[in-house]
Amino acid sequence: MELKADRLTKQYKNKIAVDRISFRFKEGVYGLLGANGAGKTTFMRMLCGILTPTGGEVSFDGIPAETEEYRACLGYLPQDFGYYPNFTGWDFLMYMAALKGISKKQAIRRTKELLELVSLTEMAKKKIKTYSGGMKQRLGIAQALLNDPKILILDEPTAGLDPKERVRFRNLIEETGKDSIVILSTHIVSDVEHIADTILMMKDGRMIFQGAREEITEDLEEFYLKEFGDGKN
Amino acid sequence: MVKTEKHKNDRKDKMQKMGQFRTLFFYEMKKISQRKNTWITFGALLVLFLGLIAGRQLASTYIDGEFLETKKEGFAIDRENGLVLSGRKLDDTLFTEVKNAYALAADKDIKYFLTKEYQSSVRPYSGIYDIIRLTSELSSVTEENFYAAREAALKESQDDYKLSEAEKEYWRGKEKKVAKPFTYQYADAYSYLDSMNGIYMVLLMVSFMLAICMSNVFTEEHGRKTDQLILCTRLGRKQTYLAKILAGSVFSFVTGLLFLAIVTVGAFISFGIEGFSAMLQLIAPNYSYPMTLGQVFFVMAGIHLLACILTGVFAMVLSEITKSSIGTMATVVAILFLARLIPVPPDWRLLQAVNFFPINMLKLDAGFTDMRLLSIFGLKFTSWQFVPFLYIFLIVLLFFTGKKVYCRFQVQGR
Repeated sequence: MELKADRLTKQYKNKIAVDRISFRFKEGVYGLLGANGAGKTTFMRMLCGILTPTGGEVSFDGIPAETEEYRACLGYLPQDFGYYPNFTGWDFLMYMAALKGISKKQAIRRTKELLELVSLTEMAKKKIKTYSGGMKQRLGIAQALLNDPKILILDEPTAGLDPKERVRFRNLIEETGKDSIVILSTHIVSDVEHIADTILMMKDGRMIFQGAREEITEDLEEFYLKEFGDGKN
Repeated sequence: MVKTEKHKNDRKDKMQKMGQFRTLFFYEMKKISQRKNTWITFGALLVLFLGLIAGRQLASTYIDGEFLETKKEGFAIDRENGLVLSGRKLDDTLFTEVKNAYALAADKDIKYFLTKEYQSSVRPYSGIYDIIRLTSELSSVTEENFYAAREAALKESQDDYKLSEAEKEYWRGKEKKVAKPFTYQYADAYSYLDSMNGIYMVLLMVSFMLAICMSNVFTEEHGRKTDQLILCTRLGRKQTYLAKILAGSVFSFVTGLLFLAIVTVGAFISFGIEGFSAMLQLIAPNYSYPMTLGQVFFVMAGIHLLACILTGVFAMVLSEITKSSIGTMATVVAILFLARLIPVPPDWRLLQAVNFFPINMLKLDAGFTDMRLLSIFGLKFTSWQFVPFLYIFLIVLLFFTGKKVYCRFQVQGR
């Protein structure tokens, strides 16, 4: 299982948002760190196939990102997660399951499982507009997991989660990362400190650091500040 | 053996895909039906049309401030009178009867309408009088000059349109099939439905509603930022686009059909159901196509339903191209008004296209009876025969244009 980003570039008129990033993702959890505007979201959107790169390509086991086959392997939670306020949580997951091409029988089973997993079973029949920010975020996480994705891309997934929910979320991601590729972007270092096997750092559209978590012997937060603060990279 | 297994798997796969598409379609319908603007506009139109029907039934007629009858009673009397005369030829015998009857009312005060004499001797001929005055003066009308006046008007109309000799020949052929003398038939319901108060009004109002409701089908996803969730799913591109367009088209069709049914039933309640086989020339004397008012109703209903789908698809696709629901609503409304306002000189062939706009096609004195023919592969089509194909072509064209835009959409700049 390999997700390959090859010289991935995204250039807007006067700005290079992502600058020739090449990386091969294997099973495991990847923590993508970077300040706001570093290009994390653009990079992730290209990995999801919803933004066409100016240069380079993305493929999963040789399957190009723009294909239906690729999207069938993908789970994505965007940073600004949109929803339908008049849909119930149940409806929303069933709709997302249909979009992901999951059969109705399987969708019902998976929806029940995931609502249980994100502790939303009791809210399942309530409209999403009545949900709190944390509940909506958990619903977003549930939809990303519906198709048991081989590639799970989470953009700022812990936003809106309370400390207890963050712990449960980390456990869930750790578990998922055992047989999937999980890429988790955040600007909060502590979110990835305990669960990421690999740390990636982005600045000004470039990957300024990539390495195993164990390789970073000092405190990750300090390491992160050093990488970004001294401007050497 | 292996082939059978493969066939079975293919069939299973196909069934599963159909099931998934049905679910996507169901949720797209649900999204449309759950929007506030859908219910508000739907409710407003329902109140408008039901109000018009109720108003028509409950209102009363006053002559110079004096009560004559309720409208409901008036419709019943006119229907009864009309049915008595149904089947009569519009010939000298009938014209003389009408002239004699109306001579009683000549130089009389308006209050004469309240008298028993008017009600029993003059009013029964009001339906025939309405036909005569479309082309002739009642005082001088005879069978000969009535049909001669019509023939002259037909010729003048053909000259105004600058019809070619082949077109004139076509219409001469059709004219031969129009039975003369005309046969009167009571047909107030169909006259009403085929007029600007009927299907035309339904299309006008439903077009406004579709402009509001359909311009959100795609823009809602961009506005709510659900587009990025949808587009990265397996069926989030082609199938979702198809489900959205199909849901919008079904909604447009059903809305058009529902309000058409309401107005039709309302007309039948007020005027009765008679008149399906009445000849078109009773209300559109200067048109030579041998059709009944019932046939005109069905042709108009078909054009109306296709026009609803076209308007819906146009609003959806335009909103996806512009990413603006407000801009789309404004464009659809502007087109409705402009199409009505642009004058179409009959001899300007290129501007004939303006008459193909749905709102003009359902006007009996405009697009529908436009005498210029369209020749395609040697076959000649009248405007109402041509536009269904045009609308279908435009729907297909819009579908593929929108598909290209939707499938190429890039999530950026947020």
